[in-house]
Amino acid sequence: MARLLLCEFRKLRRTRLPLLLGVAAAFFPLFGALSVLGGSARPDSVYGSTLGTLTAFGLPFLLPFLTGLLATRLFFWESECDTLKLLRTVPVRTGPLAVAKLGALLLLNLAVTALATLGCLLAALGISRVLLADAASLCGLALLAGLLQTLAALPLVLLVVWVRGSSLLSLLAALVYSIVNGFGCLQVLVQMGSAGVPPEQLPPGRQLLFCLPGALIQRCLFAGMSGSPYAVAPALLAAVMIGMSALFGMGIVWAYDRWER
Amino acid sequence: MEEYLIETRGLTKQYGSQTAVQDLDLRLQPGHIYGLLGRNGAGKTTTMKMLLGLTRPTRGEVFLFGQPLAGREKALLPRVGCLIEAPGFYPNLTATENLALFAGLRGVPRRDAVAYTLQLVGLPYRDKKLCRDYSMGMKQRLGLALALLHDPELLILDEPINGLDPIGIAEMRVFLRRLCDEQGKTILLSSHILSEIAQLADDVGILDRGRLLEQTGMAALEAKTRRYIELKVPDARQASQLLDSALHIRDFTVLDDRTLRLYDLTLPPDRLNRVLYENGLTILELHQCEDTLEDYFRQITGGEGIG
Repeated sequence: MARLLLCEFRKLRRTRLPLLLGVAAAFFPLFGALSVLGGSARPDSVYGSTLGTLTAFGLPFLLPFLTGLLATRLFFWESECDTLKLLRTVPVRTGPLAVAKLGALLLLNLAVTALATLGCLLAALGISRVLLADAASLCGLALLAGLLQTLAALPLVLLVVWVRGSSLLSLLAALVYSIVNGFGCLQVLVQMGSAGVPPEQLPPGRQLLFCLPGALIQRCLFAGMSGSPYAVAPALLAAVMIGMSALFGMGIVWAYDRWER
Repeated sequence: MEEYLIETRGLTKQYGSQTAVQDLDLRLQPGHIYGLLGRNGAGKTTTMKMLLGLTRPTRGEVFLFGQPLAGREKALLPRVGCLIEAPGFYPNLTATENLALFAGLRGVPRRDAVAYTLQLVGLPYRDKKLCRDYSMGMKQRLGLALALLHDPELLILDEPINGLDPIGIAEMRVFLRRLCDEQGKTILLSSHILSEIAQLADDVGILDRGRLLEQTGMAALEAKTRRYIELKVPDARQASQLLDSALHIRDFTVLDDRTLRLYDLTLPPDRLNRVLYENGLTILELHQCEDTLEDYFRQITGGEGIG
């Protein structure tokens, strides 16, 4: 498995993907820094504008889209290059190959999250010239949010692998998924901020939106801190994410094996 | 030592109502080059895919190195190198990087395997040229390099001379022969180019519409192809009547209104010439010929030939 995972990264050499991921990672530090310029220069405000924005808004919108792009590239690359027949005569079975690709997807998303977090931290440090005491926990929260949002995008990966459509179709699916996910996360934060209507009194459509994986993550990470009625217990979130990862992970492996045979 | 390196028993592949391969009993002896001959769509590639486990047979069994392939792929396939259809590689990598990637996956122990294999097929080592910029001939060589990288005992090559120029074809022929003779490798290769199979193979299998029509040694096949005398005369019909009535020869065919093929070679040519001349027929041309492999192929497939 380690060899397969290493091969996935070697195949990305000289592609535009690393550059794209770097640009994506740099976007939020830049955005956060620009947004600080018009507002307060207090350290907690600066860190909120950079790291806070990244965790609350950036990752829910960015990561699903990136996940869709990466899934398209990773899962279809063997078909495009006609190398699957060679791999199968090594022999490498499609099941372990799909797991390796999922592993690469996760690691690449974590790398983007780590880069973006580091960028935001440096931007905040540069602007405020103070290292906030909470900086480490804010960074940790960002990394955790990155991991969870990647897992929450597994249904999109299954869709991409299952449909095996053109790159354009996969891109569109990724865009729609990231907008829905980001919108759900945004709505959670807005609802928490306003004079709280308990979640069970919301219209059914909104209740459903608040139960999407991305929204559940926000409810656990942010509502839990303020004791809001929207809070989701970490244990429940963990159970949901583990169950989702197992279910959709197996679905992705099955779909990939089915198509590539 | 195994009697056969490859053996199939009743190997069949059906796609819906279409039968691609039917009841194939193929046998490949160690240290031989086996040429699988057939037209486009005969079932050569499907057969090779089943031998490598890339396609599951509908019926029948595949044995490699005397063992059933099913369930033993992990033990058997590392002993096989293959080139199936067009060579596959990662276009954004160089030849060295492609080979290094697969060497890593296969766990090839030899440290200089990549350099050695590239040198063997005549490609540069650590060249900066990306595979997407390779010519057709270089891609074929790279495909062959990927097949040879792990020093397999058995090579399964699907139309390895595809896309090569005449010099490349001649080089490939010499190279494959050397692999067999000097390194003891066993090679199964497919082609629709009869002359190449005739020059290279020790054994031949003729595949047509999914059926193996004949499987024989090249020497035996050459013995079967018939010798004949080809005559060109002003009137083939009159000549054929004379052959029958005056010379009592019936083993001949009339090709057109001026050409006959005489398969009975016991008749001395001077007697033939005298009889025809005495009856007013001049022999315009007389050649002693041999059926080519193409003629033989056409005979047994009943088709228009290999094209």
